Amino acid sequence: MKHFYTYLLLCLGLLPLAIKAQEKKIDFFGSGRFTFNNSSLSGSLINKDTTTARKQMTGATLFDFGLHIRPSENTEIKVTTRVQNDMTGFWGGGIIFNLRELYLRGLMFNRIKYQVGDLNTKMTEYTLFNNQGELSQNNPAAFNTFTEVIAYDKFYGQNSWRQQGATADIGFDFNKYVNHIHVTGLITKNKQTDYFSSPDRLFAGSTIQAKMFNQLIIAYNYSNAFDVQKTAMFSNALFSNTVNSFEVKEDLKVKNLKVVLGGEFGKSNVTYENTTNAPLINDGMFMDGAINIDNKKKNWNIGVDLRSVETNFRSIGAQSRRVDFGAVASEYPYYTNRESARPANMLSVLTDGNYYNMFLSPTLKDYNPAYENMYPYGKATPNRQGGDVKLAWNHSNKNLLKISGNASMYNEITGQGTTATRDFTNLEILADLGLNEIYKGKKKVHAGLFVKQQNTTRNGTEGIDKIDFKSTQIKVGVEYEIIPNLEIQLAGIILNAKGNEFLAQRNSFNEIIFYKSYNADLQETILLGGINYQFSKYNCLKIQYQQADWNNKLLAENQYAINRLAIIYNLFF
Amino acid sequence: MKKTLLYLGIIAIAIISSCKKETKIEGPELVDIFGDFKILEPLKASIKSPNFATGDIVIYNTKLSIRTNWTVEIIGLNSGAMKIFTGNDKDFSLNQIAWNGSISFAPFFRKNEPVVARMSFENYPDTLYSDTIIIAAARPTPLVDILIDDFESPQRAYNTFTEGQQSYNSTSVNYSGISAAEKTRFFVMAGNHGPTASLFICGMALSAKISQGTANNYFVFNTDNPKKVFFNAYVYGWGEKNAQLSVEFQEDDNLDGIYQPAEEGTYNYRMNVNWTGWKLVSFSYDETSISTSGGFGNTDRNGKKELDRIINAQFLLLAQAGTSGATRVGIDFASFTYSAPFQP
Repeated sequence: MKHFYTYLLLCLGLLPLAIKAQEKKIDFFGSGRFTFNNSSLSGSLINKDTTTARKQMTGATLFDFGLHIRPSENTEIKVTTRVQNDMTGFWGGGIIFNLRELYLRGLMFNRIKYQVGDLNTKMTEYTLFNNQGELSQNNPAAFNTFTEVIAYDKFYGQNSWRQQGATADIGFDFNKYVNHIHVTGLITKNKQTDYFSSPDRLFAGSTIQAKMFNQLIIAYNYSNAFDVQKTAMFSNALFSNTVNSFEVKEDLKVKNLKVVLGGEFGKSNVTYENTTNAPLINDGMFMDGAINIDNKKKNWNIGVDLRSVETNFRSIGAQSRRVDFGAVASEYPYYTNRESARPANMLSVLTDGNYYNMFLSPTLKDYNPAYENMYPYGKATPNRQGGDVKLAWNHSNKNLLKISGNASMYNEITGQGTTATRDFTNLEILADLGLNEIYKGKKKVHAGLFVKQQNTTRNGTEGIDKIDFKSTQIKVGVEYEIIPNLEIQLAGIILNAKGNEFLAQRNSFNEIIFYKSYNADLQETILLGGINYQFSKYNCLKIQYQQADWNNKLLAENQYAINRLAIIYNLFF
Repeated sequence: MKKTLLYLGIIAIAIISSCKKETKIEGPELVDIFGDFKILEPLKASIKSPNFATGDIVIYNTKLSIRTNWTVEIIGLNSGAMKIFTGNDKDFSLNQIAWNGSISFAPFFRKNEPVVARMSFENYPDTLYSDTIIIAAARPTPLVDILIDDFESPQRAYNTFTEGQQSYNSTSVNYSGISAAEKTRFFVMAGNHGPTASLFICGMALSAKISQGTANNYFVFNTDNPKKVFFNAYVYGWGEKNAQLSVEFQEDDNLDGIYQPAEEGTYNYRMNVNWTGWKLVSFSYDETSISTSGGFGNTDRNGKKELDRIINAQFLLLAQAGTSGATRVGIDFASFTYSAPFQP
């Protein structure tokens, strides 16, 4: 027995050494989160709605446990599991275990980088790109943790789509004229067959990029989403969407100015084989040219972007939407006595992960014109031509003042349902002010303002096709540091949308088959106040009181407000 | 600088030269949808006395001035049976409403029953009625592949159970005042629950052995593909908005002839029964999810759906979260079909 205790003590003593010895082979990481929402519903809606519960309490605790395993110098395995327990899952009944992430990556022949399993895939804004969702940019800091959590949960990364498959890249260096050539390829599974009528779909992409004269980059991009023959037993229907594009980018130095010239142009092709009623779709072209001038000495920057994307341009990788307005809210999912699905409001879009999509879609999904009407599918939005001018300036003390603005004018190339085309204008102004820098205060006092105005007009030719739709967003935020790491955060977002629009309804071939008349006199507000305690860069606690009001005066009986106490504790380790 | 201007010029010329307006219109013309609404021809049925037993098909026709969202309800004036068509066409000769005597909502249309079609529009108050037609012979009920139960035998050995703390729970094979969806009887689960009580109210399980009337412990399917097997049942709702029905399938994972809820999996499909009347509910076995009730089928020994191990079909009446009070749900003609949902 004595020996047993001796061995035990020895083993326990050696354990930390053993772990330390394996430190390079294996390391642990993870994240944890606790969320709690206690909300109540009020407003004119409840006078007629006798079915929707007036209060809801939801929440969850979850932990992600991850391992980096390095079996050899050139190989790494990453695996992450998730354990989640919703507040309604008592005594372990609601616990969900998921394998959240798994990939293997490494280096072959000391030259080819590869990765298999889960991939973050991204190419250009016209071939494969995960555009930001509506309302997600330039938000007050009070919203940051909520939007970051959605981006983390959905693997949005830097505008990338999370897919499963394999990728590899290789580079070659040269001495004369051409400095470097880089070749990247990827193939992922985009859709699983149902074995009967819907085949497997794969997505393949490649980029060949050459850097020349130390300043000029030329690239060719290719993406192709295609169905795999014979994976569905009772259907030979096949879909394919290819995009070929060329990119040029040149960095120049003109006196004190850094000038970047860039452009991308290309075309898409869509085919349907063995598919009943499938249309023949003409190829769609796009062209994008931009110049950006940066004066680092005087802290200003100006950029101009001119763009034309044809009506038939289709790119499954670049036109898939992040926000899915067809999804159902996690809080008060249905309302009114008809128990209709409650449309997403601003609070849903900013804080509810249910609305966020992770899959590439072959069809152009619905959007809400009150939130975004000009670029609902990012730069690759079809049927648009026009340009943007961007200006930015910051004070020599960057923490004191930053101002930027963006003005855009676009129009449609082809009229929808009429020969008349829509005209779009968009104006954005962002100001960021470090108030404590003015009086040299030690405690951080920060204020931010973002204003966006978007107008859509169409001078009708037939009377009924006239469109006049305006939306304005104002976002204001103030953060005040009470003691180190503890801030009071106040924020407000106001959205006004007024006028009429026609929303296109599309079939599975992306053809417009009908229109829904959309009329709004909408005012939405979110007001919130709370505290944020930053334990460390990767660990914070937010306690907030949020008030969201939705009021479309044309549907006055459906006006509602959601008042919510929200607690979120977020940790990465 | 000259070089920069040259690049700028090339880009601007390229973009500007690419700018164009196409005279072609994308999608249907707006005037065809949002123009003046007029009914150009009345709603008419092509046959006055259809014999659905011999395959007659009634074509309903009308003509509208624009395309708009419409609903056509074909209503049995004695039975209350209903068939619903929706669409937005304006010329019905191109896209016909073809009715083969089937139903959207139970019960079934009957022989010698007068039937009328009613057409209403989403954006206009007008309502059209067709002339009344008389059904010479009703459409025979299509066969299902496996009948779980039509609930016509009150003496059948149903395993019924209730939440012990609830005093008002009851199960019954008879329920007065409501006609069965199929034949004369159906199964009702009813109960009362308080706001803080468990969501479970009462339930009924039927073994595969009793259902099939054979010695086989398990339902016998001709495929193991869960995407290919559909469960179907008529579900009656009283419009109370607090009932939830859970349809469950218990798998005897170790094939010992006994279902052990702590160790073997139950796959379920839940629905809120918010409607009034009979509704045909169908889902594939692939759409079911493993139970989340600890110790009640949330652990599957084999970790997968196995059709050939389903030993019991179980129906639970649950309360929707946050509700209280009396609630109930009716079930009739529960079945399995292959490849497609049951289409009566």
